[in-house]
Amino acid sequence: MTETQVVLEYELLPGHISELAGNIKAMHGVDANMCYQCGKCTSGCPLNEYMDMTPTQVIHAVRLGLKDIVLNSNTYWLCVACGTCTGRCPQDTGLLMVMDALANIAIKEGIKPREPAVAEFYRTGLNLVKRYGMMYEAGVAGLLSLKTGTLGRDFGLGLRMLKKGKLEVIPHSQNADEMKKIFQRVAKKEQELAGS
Amino acid sequence: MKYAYYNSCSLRSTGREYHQSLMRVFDKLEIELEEPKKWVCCGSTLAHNSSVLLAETLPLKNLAEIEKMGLDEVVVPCTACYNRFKVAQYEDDEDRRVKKEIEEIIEHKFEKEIGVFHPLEILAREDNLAKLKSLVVRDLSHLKVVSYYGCLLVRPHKETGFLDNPEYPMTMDKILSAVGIKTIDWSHKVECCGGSLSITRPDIVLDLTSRILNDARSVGANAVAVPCTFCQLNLDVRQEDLAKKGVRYDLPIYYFTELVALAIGVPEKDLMLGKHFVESEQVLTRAV
Ligand code: SF4
Ligand code: SF4
Repeated sequence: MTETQVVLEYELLPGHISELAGNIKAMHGVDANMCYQCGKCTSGCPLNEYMDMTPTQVIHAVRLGLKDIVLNSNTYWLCVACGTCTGRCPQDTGLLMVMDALANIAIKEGIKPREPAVAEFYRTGLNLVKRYGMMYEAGVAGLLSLKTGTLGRDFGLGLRMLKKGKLEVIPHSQNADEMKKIFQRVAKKEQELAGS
Repeated sequence: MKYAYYNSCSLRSTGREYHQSLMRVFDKLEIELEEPKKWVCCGSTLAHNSSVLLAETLPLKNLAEIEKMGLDEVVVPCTACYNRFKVAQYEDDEDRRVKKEIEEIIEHKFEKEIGVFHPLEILAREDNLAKLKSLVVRDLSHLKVVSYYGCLLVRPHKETGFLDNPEYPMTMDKILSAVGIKTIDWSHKVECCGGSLSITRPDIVLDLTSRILNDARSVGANAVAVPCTFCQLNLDVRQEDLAKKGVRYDLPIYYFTELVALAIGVPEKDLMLGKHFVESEQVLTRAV
């Protein structure tokens, strides 16, 4: 972990942009510096009481460049992308995209996720999509329970779903070859973009 | 009238009843739906966390397939897909550079913008509302329904552009009342149910769903109507867990298309109400 650089707020000069905020702006087109800390995002966020840092704190920390603190919080993993913050923000900060960006950065930098099950869910799910071209719910649920050791807890739910015919036991393939190609091309393009 | 129809992953598994009832309703309205053959998953809640480029490429790949079919409007019933399609289009409009990159990846150059619509937006069109009204054969006026829109449809509104007010939408209420079903005013219309944390943090999801169900109950609803496969499953299946904790709701969670279908005379046996976890046939029987 690199040492946290604390930037005092009164040292922020007009036009100052932290490295973290700068990266997020370049990659996701949203500007954390627009935030004026009104707290509207947090007051509407359905998950705020379960989060280490409130959305308002996260965006402020991004602005200050407190990368370690933000990336080691559970906030962006618990964010369900409901868009309440973004929809209501008077400054159009695009906080939802900031949350996405943080997950992107954390994954790339190999930060240990504070919500391991959630991170694993996205990883496993996306791998299955890549493989089959469509989502395979029973597969994600099963693999996830195995990996996170919650098989006992999830078994009952799985069984109920199966009984109602809501889960496909066998995965379907949908245009899977083309899907694999798209994944490869996207990865290649991302490397090019990162290098340029 | 003919639209492309994005019959995606969840409509083929957890939300089969949604697909089924929607087909019957559109059939009655004489609207033709055609599926693109070479569709792929739109990445929904999974892709945007790990790669922005991927999250935008997958929906656009599907829109390209629709353009190749010679159609320019698509009906997208899953709200997660709807959200991803709309966000991808929005971002693509904003960022010309990425547009070029994506067109290279999917080997397709867009000639025009495909109109992406949720079935709610289609059914709420004046002519369709009038037609629905004229088709009503079954009296369901004893139902007291709250319309639950959830989050993905209405937010972020700048991106999704859903044709309604994002804080207090009325589209579903209008459609249901056109077929003679009463909807009630309530305050949790667009509150999030936490669907995407469903298997990873069930503890949180139970809190969120119970808030929504509490509000529905407190205004005297005896049913909930939803336009989303995640919301339906979440609000439906979690009631058993909540009952174990001592709070019984017994609130059936219908797809709005199921209620419309019933009102315009689609026989119950042609729908898949038995797939719901909370018993949802008895409450209908008062009016046959
Ligand atoms: S609503 Fe917008 S301006 Fe207000 S604190 Fe949140 S991000 Fe900042
Ligand atoms: S998008 Fe995320 S941070 Fe914003 S309100 Fe929803 S859960 Fe909270």
